[in-house]
Amino acid sequence: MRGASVLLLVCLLSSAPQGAEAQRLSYSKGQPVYPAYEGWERNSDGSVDMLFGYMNENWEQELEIPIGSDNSFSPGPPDQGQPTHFLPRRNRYVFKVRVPAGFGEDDELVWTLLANGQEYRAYGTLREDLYTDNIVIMSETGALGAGTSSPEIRANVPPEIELEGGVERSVRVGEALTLAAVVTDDGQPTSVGFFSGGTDSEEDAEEEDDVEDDAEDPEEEDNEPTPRELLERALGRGTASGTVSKRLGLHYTWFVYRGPSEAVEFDPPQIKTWEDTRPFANSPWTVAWVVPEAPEDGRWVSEVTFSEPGTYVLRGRADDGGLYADVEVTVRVQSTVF
Amino acid sequence: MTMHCSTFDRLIPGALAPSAVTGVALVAAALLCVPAALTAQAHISGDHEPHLFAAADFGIDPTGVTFTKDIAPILARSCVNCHRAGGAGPMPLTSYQEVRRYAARIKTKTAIRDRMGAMPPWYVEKDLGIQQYKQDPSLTDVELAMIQAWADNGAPEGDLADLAVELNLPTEDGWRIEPDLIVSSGEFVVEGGSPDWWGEIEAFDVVGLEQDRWVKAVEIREVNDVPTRGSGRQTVGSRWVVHHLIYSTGVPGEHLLERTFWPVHEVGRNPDFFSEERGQLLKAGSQISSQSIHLHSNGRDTRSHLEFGFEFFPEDYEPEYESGRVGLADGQNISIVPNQAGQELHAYDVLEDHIKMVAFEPHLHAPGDRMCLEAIWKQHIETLSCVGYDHNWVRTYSFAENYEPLLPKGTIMHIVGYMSNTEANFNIPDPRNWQGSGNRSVSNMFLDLGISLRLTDEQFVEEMANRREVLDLDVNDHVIGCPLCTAAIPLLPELEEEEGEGEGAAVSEVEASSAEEVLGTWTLPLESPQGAFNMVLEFSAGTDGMLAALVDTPLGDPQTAQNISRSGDALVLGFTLSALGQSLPVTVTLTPAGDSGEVLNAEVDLGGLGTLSGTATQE
Repeated sequence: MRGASVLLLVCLLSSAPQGAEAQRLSYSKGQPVYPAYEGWERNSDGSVDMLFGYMNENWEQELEIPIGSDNSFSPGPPDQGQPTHFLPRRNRYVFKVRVPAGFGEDDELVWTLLANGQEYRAYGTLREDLYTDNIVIMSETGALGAGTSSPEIRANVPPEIELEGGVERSVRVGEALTLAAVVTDDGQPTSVGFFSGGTDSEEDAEEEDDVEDDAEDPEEEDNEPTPRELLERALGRGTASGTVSKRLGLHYTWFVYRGPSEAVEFDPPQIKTWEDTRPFANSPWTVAWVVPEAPEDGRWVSEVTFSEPGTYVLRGRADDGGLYADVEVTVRVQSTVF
Repeated sequence: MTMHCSTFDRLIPGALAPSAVTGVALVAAALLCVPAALTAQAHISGDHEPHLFAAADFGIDPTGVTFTKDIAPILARSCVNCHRAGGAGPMPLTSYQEVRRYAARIKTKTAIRDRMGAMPPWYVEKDLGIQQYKQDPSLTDVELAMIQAWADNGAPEGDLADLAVELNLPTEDGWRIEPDLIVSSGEFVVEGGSPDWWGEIEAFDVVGLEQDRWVKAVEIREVNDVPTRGSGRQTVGSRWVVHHLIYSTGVPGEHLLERTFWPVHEVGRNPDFFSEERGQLLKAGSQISSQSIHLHSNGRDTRSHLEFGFEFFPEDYEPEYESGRVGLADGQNISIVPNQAGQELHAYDVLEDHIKMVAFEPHLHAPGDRMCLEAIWKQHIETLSCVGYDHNWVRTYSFAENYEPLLPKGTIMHIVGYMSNTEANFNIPDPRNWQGSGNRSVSNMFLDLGISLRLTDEQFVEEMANRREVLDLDVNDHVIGCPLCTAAIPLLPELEEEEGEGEGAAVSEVEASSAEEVLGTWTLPLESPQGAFNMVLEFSAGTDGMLAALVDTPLGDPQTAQNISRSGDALVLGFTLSALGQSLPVTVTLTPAGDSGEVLNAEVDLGGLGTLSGTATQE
């Protein structure tokens, strides 16, 4: 991009209302969606995975933007696995695009997105400051809480998902489709003690172990907050955070990746995969969000019903609070008249 | 004395990444079309005009400005601490021969004054807010005028007899405090091209401390093998690899809450100065530990360690005040659009105590360009400080003695962050990209890490009386950051003697004999949106014959009702609910349910946060 066209674009963007002023307000709809370049990972074969996400400035509006001139990559095919359905607010590390080993320092991969009449681009490059690994991902999603980590959390590996049934399904409008997935995880991360003093000696470590052993059932205690804890949560303590902050714990959730979400209803309602930071939203980034109790057999079951025919891509995400794994199911929904 | 302590070694794994990519210049003319509302901000990076002055305007003959007479004193005060052999500065400025060749550059860098890239790295804007700070190295208008006249006039040396300052500091010096104790971390290595890393350091002993001491100032210096001209990487943190350190000290085995938590060390940081009324305790036998060091590669393999310098108060020092807390932050919802300067972020907090603000410490990341601090008391909005920001040189701004803001409880604190995602900001890798929150140096944080002290009513009034005396304030004077300073409030102990009552005494308007039906213990089950709990109310007759009440909840210790009154047939009592260091005024309204007198309808007002209803029964 060079010259007059660039200047024109920047002028348009600079004079648009979504700039500094708009950010102070909590818009429900009508604001742009910014494609976000999150960084890059190098693979053992020399290829590079470029990580993308997005920021939908709207707190309510979800947008469906089909692949095409309004939602495309260049160079290469316009469809490089990006979503067409955009959830509200910040969605990090949504998809990866693999570029070959020959991708150079001066090369770039560009994602263009036009939403609510405003076009933005994300420029994928190999700038060193954006070199990413799992620690960076855990940090940027808020799992490391202001950068507190331990050998255990740094050794965290993503959950694994075993999807039951095929990745392509058919169902009629109004019929419930059962989605089941077995999720396994290494149990990390547990919790991160921000400002924790740490273990200063082996003796201290043993003492801490003793304390843990003495507790009858710490997990049960964690799952049953006292009224005092509940009211404290209700009063919204500790909401000021200088950086992204996320509650940890394994959970599994489905969301619409491609296709109109207003025609899709999940039962039970799914945990949000986007950063809904409003108090007491069902999102790991909200105040005092409680991690759901995982099924004993690791099998997470939901039902989904569609009110309109069409082809939908549903994504299931297993998230241990730090790292994640995704599966996708394509559902062809037929009208009931056939 | 210098103590070397136990080591911690940190080797960042990971493959070497390609060298830095030269940034693609997008549009030099972009700023020409920035909306008018933004151009009105005079201090936006990219729009920032150099601070140029004419010496003649100050009655100075520009041709008479010389190195020996005029420039050397400025360098001695504000430059050579870093610009000396072995210092952090990229070139020594300790002699005329060293300085002369950089005359034009010195003019340019000092004229930036309060934005990233400025030297010295101190970014207080001089046209608003409080101007009195500890260890302020900034240059006055006259000094800038002299530097500019000197550089423009060929940088003359002048008469050696005029040289009255020593520019050659000992190479082992360079501390900006006078440390009584210095301890060093072990060495660690950050590989060039490695990703950002966060983690722990191995705890190490604070060697050489024989007894507990209260600390007056602390300074942390990163000592590394990066050439003083930088690593070669053109973005954030070229000179340093330690981008933050959250650390504490404590004796091994003691409880977490007994440890001392210190101000966060950040990239290129200056010292912290604590208030005379509240030092930080460093215990004998302590270790320094951290679970949160953030390392950012600068593009070359770097060996580094940290030196901690502690300056003590006298041995008999005792603190008077409690530490306070102001939670000014919103790092969750950051959205910074491409190619635009002056993008604002806002965060607020309501003071629940009177405070004395000791320091203002903006913490942003690479896109950070400026932060302003405001105090809103009633309808009055006052800017306390505005400072530029450069994430290579994070500054804390310690207010000078007698200029610390004294703010009453109820004041709304407000910070405004100004973010520059443009080519003018050399710290960011690609301004064409949108940016959000995160812990990486090139992502975004937004908070004030400054220091505040919590004052009681008595301390608050006394501080203001002292301020009136020291600054010789008249009733019509106004002091920035002290809205009640001239309110002429008498010292509270005298007031208490006159009234014969202490603070917080319970006031009951209801005679116990008129409320015999409620005497005893009542259990009130309540259902909050998050779950059920019981409130227990115990009514009794006080020694003065008035009705008294004790309220117990699972949220904390039992509380005495501070006021009891009647409203129609309802009994109204108020108390303060204290939990997690926070206080919430609660009002309970009890109304008879039926004629039996054994059941009361209850409404519990949680200080405007919501109302819970229930039915109380007598035990």
